[in-house]
Amino acid sequence: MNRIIILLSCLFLSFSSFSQDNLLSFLDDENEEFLTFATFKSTKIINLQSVEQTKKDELNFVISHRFGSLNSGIENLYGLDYGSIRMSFDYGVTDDITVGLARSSSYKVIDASVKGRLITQGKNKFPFTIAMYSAVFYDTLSSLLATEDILKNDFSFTHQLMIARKINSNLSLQLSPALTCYNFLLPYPWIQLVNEKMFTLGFGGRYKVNKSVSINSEWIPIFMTNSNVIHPFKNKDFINSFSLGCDIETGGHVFQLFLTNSETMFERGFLNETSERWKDGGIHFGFNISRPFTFN
Amino acid sequence: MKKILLLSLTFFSFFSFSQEKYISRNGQIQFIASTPLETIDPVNNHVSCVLDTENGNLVFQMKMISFKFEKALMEEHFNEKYVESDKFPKSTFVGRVQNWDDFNWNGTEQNIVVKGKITIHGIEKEIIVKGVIETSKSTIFLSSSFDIIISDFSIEIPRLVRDKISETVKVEVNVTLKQK
Repeated sequence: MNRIIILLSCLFLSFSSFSQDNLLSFLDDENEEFLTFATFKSTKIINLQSVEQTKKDELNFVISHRFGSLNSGIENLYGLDYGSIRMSFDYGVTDDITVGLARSSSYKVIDASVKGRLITQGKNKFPFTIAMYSAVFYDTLSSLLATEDILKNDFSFTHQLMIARKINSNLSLQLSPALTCYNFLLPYPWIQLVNEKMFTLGFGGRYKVNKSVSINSEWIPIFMTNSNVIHPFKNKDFINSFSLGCDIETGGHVFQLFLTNSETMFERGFLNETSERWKDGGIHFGFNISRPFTFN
Repeated sequence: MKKILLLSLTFFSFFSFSQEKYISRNGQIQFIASTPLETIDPVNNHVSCVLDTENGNLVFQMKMISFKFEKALMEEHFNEKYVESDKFPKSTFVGRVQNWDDFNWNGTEQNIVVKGKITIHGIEKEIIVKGVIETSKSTIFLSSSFDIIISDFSIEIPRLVRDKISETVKVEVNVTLKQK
């Protein structure tokens, strides 16, 4: 009998307290999902593409600049006398598909790219955001230099997968395996041993120091050429790209300032053709500035 | 016997509970923080709302990330830097229509005063706002317009963009509630 009284009183109590706050829980949706946003501040971590996309109907104009290397001496103001530039236009066809066109002054390369987001972290509780990036490079300089017999085809391709996780609101990490296919031998003596198929594995991340500034870094070891496995630390032939820098966000722009041993700014170049070492002072100061224009 | 009694009571309470609720999941809330330098007037079309017609209790809930801005970058900054939507994904209002006893179903526009607690950016604040209620056959329309002050909710606006964002934000609410 006592039990009944307790139970009943509990029931009535819960009934009578079924007031405003319970009304709120009435609205809760079990299947509600929160998609992760702003895994990175920019469409690039530093050199590497991030999982971020240019938004729909937006044209993102990016100017990238790399100065000369730090070890070029005081007479060249430690590299600041020289510089190479890349201008790129990325257009958001949808929120998940971006097409881009760019021109780099190094090797006078024109590249066209498409980037697509396959899944966003949080969708059906999926733990990662996954995107892919494919680019085709046309080497206008090598076409000029090369003779008929070494030149099979002026085009080369890079295909890359980006797998990222925003671990918390400050820390995001990304893994980027990539394959680059060369259809021709590069006619530059300073880039040796580049094979027809190059496999790289990029590691990238950012840590937000405050609401507007984040520290970014990336390391991209070459791990396979054709079918030869390359040791990331012990090989003497290939140099892996390493970059360290920061993102600074103002009202309408994102500035990325960094140090890197890769002078080239298009994927094929910095992934596979890095020719300078950090320990020798082959470090370039560089920046990316992006400015979006909206059409709608 | 005990169980039957309990179960029937539970069912009864549920039954009577669902009778009096009017609900919406696609209400509209717009806020206007425009200045001469920048137009800021995003709309959220996925606002949830319940009105308990038995006692005038009224709650609102919305995802901050559902606010759609004209500029994508502005939307990202709003979510990432200002209201911090990953830490505080939802804003809520929990309150009661103060003059609910005067309410009648005759289809005319009636003025209401709503008092309750609004929670934005994890900060709870007591507010009293005026609104209008209107009924038709099986729906109730609610609308209201009121001002809130950004700094009341400890949302920091960087000095660099302070001239572009109004410190006082006008909030416009429009919902159509249907019987659940």
